[in-house]
Amino acid sequence: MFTNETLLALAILGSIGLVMSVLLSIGKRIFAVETDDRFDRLMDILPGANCGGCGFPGCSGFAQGLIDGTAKPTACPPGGPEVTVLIGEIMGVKLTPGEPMVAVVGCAGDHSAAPPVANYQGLRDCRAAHAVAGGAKSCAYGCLGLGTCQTACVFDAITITDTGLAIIDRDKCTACGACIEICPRQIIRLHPKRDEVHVLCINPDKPKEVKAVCTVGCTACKLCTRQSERLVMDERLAVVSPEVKADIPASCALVCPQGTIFDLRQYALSDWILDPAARRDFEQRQEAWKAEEKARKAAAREKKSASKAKPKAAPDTNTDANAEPGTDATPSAGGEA
Amino acid sequence: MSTPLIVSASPHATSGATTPKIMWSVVLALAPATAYAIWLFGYPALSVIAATVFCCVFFEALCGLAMRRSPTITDGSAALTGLILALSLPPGLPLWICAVGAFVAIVISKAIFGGLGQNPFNPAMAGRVFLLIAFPADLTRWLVPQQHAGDTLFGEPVTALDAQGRITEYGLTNVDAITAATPIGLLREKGANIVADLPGNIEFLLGHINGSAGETSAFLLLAGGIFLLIRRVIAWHIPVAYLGTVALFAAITHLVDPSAYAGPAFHLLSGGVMMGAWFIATDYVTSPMFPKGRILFGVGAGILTMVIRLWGGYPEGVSFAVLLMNACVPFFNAWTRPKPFGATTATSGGPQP
Amino acid sequence: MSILTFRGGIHPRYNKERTAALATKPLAAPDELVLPLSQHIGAPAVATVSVGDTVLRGQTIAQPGGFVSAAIHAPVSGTVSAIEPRPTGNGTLGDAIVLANDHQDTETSYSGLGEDWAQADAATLRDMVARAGIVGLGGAAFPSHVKLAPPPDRTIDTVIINGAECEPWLTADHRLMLESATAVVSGLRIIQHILGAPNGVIGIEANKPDALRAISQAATGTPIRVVSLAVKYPQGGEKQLISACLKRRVPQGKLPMDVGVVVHNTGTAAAIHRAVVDGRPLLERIVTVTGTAVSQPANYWVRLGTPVAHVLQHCQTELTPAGKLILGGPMMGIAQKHADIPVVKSTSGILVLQPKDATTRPASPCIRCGRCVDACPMFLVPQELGAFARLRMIPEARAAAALDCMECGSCAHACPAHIPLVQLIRLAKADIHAAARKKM
Repeated sequence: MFTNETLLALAILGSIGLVMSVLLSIGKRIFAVETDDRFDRLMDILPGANCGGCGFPGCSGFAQGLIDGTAKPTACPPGGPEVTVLIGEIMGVKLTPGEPMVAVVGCAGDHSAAPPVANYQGLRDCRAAHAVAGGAKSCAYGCLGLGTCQTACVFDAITITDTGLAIIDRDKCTACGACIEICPRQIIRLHPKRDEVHVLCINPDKPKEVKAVCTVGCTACKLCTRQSERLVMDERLAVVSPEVKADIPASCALVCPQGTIFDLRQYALSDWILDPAARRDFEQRQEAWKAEEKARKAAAREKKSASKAKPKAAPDTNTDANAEPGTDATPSAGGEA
Repeated sequence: MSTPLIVSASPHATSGATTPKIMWSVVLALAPATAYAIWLFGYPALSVIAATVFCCVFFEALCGLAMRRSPTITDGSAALTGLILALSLPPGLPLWICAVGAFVAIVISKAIFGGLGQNPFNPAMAGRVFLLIAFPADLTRWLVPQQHAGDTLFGEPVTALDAQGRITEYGLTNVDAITAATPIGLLREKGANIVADLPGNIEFLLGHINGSAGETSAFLLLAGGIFLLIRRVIAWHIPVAYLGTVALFAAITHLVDPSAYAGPAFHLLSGGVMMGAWFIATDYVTSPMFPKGRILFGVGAGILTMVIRLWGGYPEGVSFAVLLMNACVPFFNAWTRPKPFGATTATSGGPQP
Repeated sequence: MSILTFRGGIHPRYNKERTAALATKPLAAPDELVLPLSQHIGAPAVATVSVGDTVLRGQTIAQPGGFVSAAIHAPVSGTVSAIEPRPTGNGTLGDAIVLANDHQDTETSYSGLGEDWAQADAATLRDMVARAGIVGLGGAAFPSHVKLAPPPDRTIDTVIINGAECEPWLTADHRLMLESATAVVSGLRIIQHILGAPNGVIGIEANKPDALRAISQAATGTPIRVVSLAVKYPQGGEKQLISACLKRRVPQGKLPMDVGVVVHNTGTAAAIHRAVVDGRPLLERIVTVTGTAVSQPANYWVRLGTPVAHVLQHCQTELTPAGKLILGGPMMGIAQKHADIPVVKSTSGILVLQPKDATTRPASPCIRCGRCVDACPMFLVPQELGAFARLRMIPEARAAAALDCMECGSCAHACPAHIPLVQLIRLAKADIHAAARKKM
């Protein structure tokens, strides 16, 4: 089987191979490039999405920045707290990760709630559409739904509904900030991930003007601010205050007559926007809660009038003079305190 | 206000030109030459043309579906590619080979790069060159036009034709379905003295020469090209530069050695030069965008065509010349881009904003 | 005699024959006028009246808000009913003075210099122009008194009056040149006097032979040169006009004054004449109302602040769904969502298009035909700029001179694939400016 020629061929090729591999290993040593071994370890733990959220060109840029000392170790939003801690281990620093954030689109006004007032034709890009006649939507502040944010998101966290509204999946969102930067109306904001209640409107106009353009916009009725100290008024817009530490009860969302407040403990965002059944359920619960509130207030009034009625024997003219309409036994017209 | 007006960015008026109009007008310009070729060669030409065009359109539709793009077959570009490819193929080519050519032209040279507007190489020429290299025998069998029973071949009278017009006998030689080489092939094969034996130039114009359908109707192609020029579908730079270079090159070589090299008229009217000048090299997608670049492109294609014809390994150089120049288009564009108004250099962006 | 014009440009369908021969008629003033405080380039004007004040026609109601700004005057007599944000023609809300018209047209008194204006010095004349609230009436609305005050190191040797009116459909400047030829010529002489420029040129496109004759006649006896320009869009672009009339090319990033030239629109020239000679401020302008949906097109003298809805009502034109309402011409005009916007100083035309002319075709892939390159009067490569814009390649867009683009629309007009090139280039420009701001 192995003729002389075959053996010779094997020998020659084998020795060429041997010589080449020796040369290559020598070359590897001579031409080796010095790298900081931390670079490779950092590249292993970084998410590798190259989203630019850290402000550096890609994960390799961030890793180099960490080594050079120009990058803040907490600057990687997609990495989150785990990666921050790992970076700390590699760089030999103790780090406490920042609060996880998510991006939220501050608008629920899709085509049915805030219909278009003109037929926009042209580039399917929100920045371009916003520049044409100020945007063809009834609300000058609302989401145009053309998907520029969706294209900008490298984590596929944004979907545009068929009704023309952008919604962000909070589980996929890494708060890198790309959508926030590109939205021409600055509708998208960062919120702490643990926040469960959001006001989905940024329209600061007068109540009548807001109502004229959108069925789910904030009309500054302030009812929600009475349910929780965390809801405050920023001029004519209700906002969830970042500073105030207080609970937001479920009643905040239920009290809003426009349905502007979204509470993710009660509904999933996509259902809230898209599912009419969710809205109907919300309205029913709203009615039920209003009825309960009414009953509660009536009971409170009863109690108050009962406690006031007891010392009637004493000639307390003050009490009678200070009697509020509706607190005594005679029914008043409205019945509302 | 409840009237939903249309709002869009300016301008609010267009010239009326559309991509389909352009593509179909080129198809229209090719129609006379196509009809003439079918008249000359009959069913063999018709079947090649129909099959190639159909396959090109079919593959384009298939790729559109596969790549989830909106349908583009109505814009006429696939049909045009098919027609140009068909006219550069020999009549009687087996239809399955036409289908392979269409596949290479549409799927590999166009769809994979991203579809219309994205291909670096002329799809029809890429298809033709692929077929030439993969099926050299089939691509070099040329039929004799069926009208020419009394014609001679290599000085011998044609004595027998088959039902499809092919010579089965000439002089005293019996052959099976012989196919005669084209005049250019003759040139190459027979060597220097063949120039004297070449049929007169007028016969080229009237198509009484065997060859691919595209070769036989130089006159009709020229008319089609001028139609496109008048309609402003193509610019004059590429055809004039290409034809001018071919003519000049041929004239110079003919002057140097008249017995070895044919003159400008022969080279301009034979082979794919007329077709190439007006319909192939002028393809928008694969040619330069700027006037000076177009002239460079035409000159380069002309030189390459002649070099391959006279001294290269193939009798026809148009397809290779065009493909090679397609590769150079990015350079031509970079070298000849216009200087912005009032700027000192072509890449001057002006002062900081 | 036709002058060899600029390289590039397009030949759109003009449709001017519908209104070119129609004499300008005054349009009855509406009951309510809306005067935006920002009808010009520069700082918005500052109101000098309050709600409830009575005003006379011609009275100043807002002062310039800075050097590059312009005053605003009441085009009617009446009362100030509100000063509040109102929709404007650029799609946004802007603060505006709302006047309730008493239909009396009681005018304030004017004092002009009469025909002896040449006795006055440049500063006085410039001040009169500023107080009259005159801005470029060709559409740019640049405050004219600023253009009349170039920096001391710039000597102006030529003033060109832009009578090209290259936008299709519009005939406002055409009618003005026919009906007020002497005012236009006089305005040019005043401008020349202010700037100390020895040469005056009036450029008119060859499709207006009657205007050429009228202006030439009015200019006999003066050294003013009246030139005929080739009919091409955008012949009226400043740089193209200077290139055609004087064969001078304004360097990249520079202004006409850097080659010793100042360009003014015919309407502006006539307004300057009226301000200096008669002391009258800018109260109204000629507006061409036309389009395929307008059955009775016309040229009107429209008081500034007149709602477009009022103009359309007067012309018995209804806005149909899927039609288009454009302020300005079809090439650079702005499409509107509704007609509740006022006519302002820069409104040269109101164009109403039927649905069949209004629909834009969807974009298809670029076939690299190069028609956009042939059309561009600034010698750019719009196809490339559009690609850079889509891909957000900002440094490359900047190097390809995207900022030189004047958004004339020639490229998009020529494009057979209907690619929205101007819209894309605008995005690129916005990105370039944003990136430059970030660097600072």
